[in-house]
Amino acid sequence: MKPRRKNLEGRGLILAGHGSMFSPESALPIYRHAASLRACGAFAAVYECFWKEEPSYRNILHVVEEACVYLVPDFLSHGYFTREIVPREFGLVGPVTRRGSCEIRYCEPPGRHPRMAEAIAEQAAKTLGEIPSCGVALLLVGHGTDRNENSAQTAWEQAERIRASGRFAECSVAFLEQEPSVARWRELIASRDLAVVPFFLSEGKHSYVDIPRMMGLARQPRDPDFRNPQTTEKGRRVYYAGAAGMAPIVDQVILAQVDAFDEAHRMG
Amino acid sequence: MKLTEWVECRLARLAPPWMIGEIRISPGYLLTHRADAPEDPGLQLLSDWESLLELARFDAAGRFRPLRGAPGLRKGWRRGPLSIDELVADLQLLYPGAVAVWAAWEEERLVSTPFSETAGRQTGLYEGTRRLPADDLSLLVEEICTRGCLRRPLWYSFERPSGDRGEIPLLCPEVCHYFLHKARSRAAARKAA
Repeated sequence: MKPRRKNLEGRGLILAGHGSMFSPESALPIYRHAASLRACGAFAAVYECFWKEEPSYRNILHVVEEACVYLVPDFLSHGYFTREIVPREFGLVGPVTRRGSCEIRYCEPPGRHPRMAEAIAEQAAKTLGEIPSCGVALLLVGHGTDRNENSAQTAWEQAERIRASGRFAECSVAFLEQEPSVARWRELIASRDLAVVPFFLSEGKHSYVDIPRMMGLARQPRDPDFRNPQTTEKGRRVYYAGAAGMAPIVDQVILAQVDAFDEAHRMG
Repeated sequence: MKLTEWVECRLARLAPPWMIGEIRISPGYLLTHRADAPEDPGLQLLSDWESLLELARFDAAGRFRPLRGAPGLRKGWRRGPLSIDELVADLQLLYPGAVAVWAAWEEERLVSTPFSETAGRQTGLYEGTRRLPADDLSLLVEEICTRGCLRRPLWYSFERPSGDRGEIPLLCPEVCHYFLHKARSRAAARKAA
């Protein structure tokens, strides 16, 4: 990662992820983001913590030593965890919370930052290799839920940015649990070939099994004979990419959210 | 005083090797499993954070370890020599929060949170933990904390650690999510019965 222009010396960063008691992959991107941000040296310390794994949100407060710490929910959109669980567990009272001698600055999730569109495009480009992206559609596939509009809204916003960049022939959005369903991808995409990017922070059952199955793909990413692209009916080629949150530049998106916080709240 | 300085000073006042959970810390700072001999040339060197994370998260059979304090850490490895900063960072991966909680405990500023308080603030799926009967709580503590974890649940019992020479206590000031998950299942089963 490139050196930063802004001096955050003496300040800490907490990455609050979801984690899982059953799927070890869930926490991996958070560990990677933390390692990369530690290596860049922008912060005095970088801490990772999880809702469903150790260290917990509550536990990490014992460890933080800095007088000012940025708290970034390492999620792709706002929802129950970023709006309710994280604020509750950290005892937040607003964007800025003073807890003892520590000031906590609660940032937006990286998935909402405009630069997340770059991460999505990067994942698609990686799976395309030498194939020019301008002739290929990008299909962004999120979870979606009728209980929370934010999840879908964020995906639509990022897709609009990708569309505006003109980097791909087209860009559409589909979901696992709401309309438009990813099962209808043939109707949603006009281009012959497409790159599918799961709009998830980590790899897991949704990206490895659920999306390919709903798309009717013959091979899933974990199958031993999985290859990109897969050719479907009418010669349509599907390039299946890694989850958006696994893109190497997500660490920079997190830094961008830290900068955005200080700009939005006029803080130094 | 920074935590790393505190740890360095505190260890200097304890006779080595220092033990924490299933870890042995030898002078210099070299980490091994406490059941392994540090001088054993057959120990595999863990040279990067990914391999240490792998050690903390998976047992010898490759099973995921959602509870870091659970006994069953893999043997046959070594790590170090480490700086004091690296030592504290490694222990944070192996036993998250343990060193900071130890410091807070020794300085008498550690506040533990009773189960009723943690359960009382839960919402959604975990709201049911508020209704866990006291008998079930005791049974779960026995099953998860006493037999299944090396940390001492200060949130349940305020028994003071023994303070054996060279033994760094593993303290648990608040119920973990693993416990909450089990408590939720138990409370749900009670309700269904």
